[in-house]
Amino acid sequence: MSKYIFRLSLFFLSFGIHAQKDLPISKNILYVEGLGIGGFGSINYERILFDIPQHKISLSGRLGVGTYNFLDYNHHFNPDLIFPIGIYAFYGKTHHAELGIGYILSTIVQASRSLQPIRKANTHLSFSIGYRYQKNSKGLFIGLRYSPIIEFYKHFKHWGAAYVGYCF
Amino acid sequence: MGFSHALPINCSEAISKCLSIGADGVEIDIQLSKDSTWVAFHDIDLEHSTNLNGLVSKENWSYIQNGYYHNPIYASYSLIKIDDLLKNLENKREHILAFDLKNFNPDSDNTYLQLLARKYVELIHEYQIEDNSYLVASTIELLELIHSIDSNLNLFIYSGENFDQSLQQAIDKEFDGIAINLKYLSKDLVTKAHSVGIKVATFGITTPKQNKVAVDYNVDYIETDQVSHLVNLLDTQ
Repeated sequence: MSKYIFRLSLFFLSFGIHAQKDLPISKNILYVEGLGIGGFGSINYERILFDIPQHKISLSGRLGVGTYNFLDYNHHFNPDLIFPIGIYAFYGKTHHAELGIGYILSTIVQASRSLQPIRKANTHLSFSIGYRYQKNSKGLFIGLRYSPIIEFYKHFKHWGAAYVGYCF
Repeated sequence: MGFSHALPINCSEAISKCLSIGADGVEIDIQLSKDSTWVAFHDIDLEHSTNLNGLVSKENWSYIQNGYYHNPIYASYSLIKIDDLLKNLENKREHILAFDLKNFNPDSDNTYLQLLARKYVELIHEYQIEDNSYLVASTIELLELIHSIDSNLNLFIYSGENFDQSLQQAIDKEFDGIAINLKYLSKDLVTKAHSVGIKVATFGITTPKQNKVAVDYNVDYIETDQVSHLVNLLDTQ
């Protein structure tokens, strides 16, 4: 019995030490991504949804917006819009290995057969594997992703991203 | 964020954008489909830049109309037929329309060239763009056939490095001009062509510096990737 009490005590002791040593992870991230599933670039908000500190595993959700043209082909303000949405699981304390899946909604201004501007909305899929530097405390957030895109769910395109942001 | 992306050449968005910036005209690559529809397309085969396969000359418009360009990402700019473009292009008789006829049909023979010539003349007549259009082609026989149907149409012959040979052919065949890459051109050659009534169109221009060179050479038509720069350059002169 004393053996069990001892082991149990050790468990709580270790948990207590762990909880005291590690700050809770900063749950919010704002970052800019170059290339990536936002097309040629995007600004993004990411939120830690789930965190298991003792296993160094976290899960986050991301929502962003990107564009590559603010003016349409008639030179009017009518931006192409790309909304990257993603779920990422990452492992590590400060240096993380990351796996993700992304869903992209794009609305691109194109011409109809009669040359009138129309907005074409489409969805696409992406997977990613990468590295991220993210401390539990507030501060710098940077990383790299290989994030191939399955455009229109048909065409596989190699794609990648580099990103930098701030955790808070 | 904010990066401009290049539109695929020959899509209606690129043509409209070029004109909306203030260009005097546009250059459009044209190919004839199997069912004799003029399609705006540059490459030899459809596979390289679109979601389709095959050659334009071997496919019907019912197939080609489903085509869209791979780039830029997330966009699906459509392949267009020239009929749709000319029907809907505003002020089409006020713009210079340069057609570059690409004949990649591996079975091209004299009968096929006659078809190309007849269809081209029909296109120009249907939209009454005789005065504001010109055709560039590398096949002298094709240009001769078009000239024999309608000698009033503006015809330009492609020139390689040998400008003098092309100039002589243009004079002999009564063509209107020569189309030549800027890298093979000089101010003296342009002056030489002008002295015998031959116009010069130049292409292969990708930088603002090359725009300035082409303007300095006093060529008649400049086909450039730097449209905004050229429009501003000419506006300030």
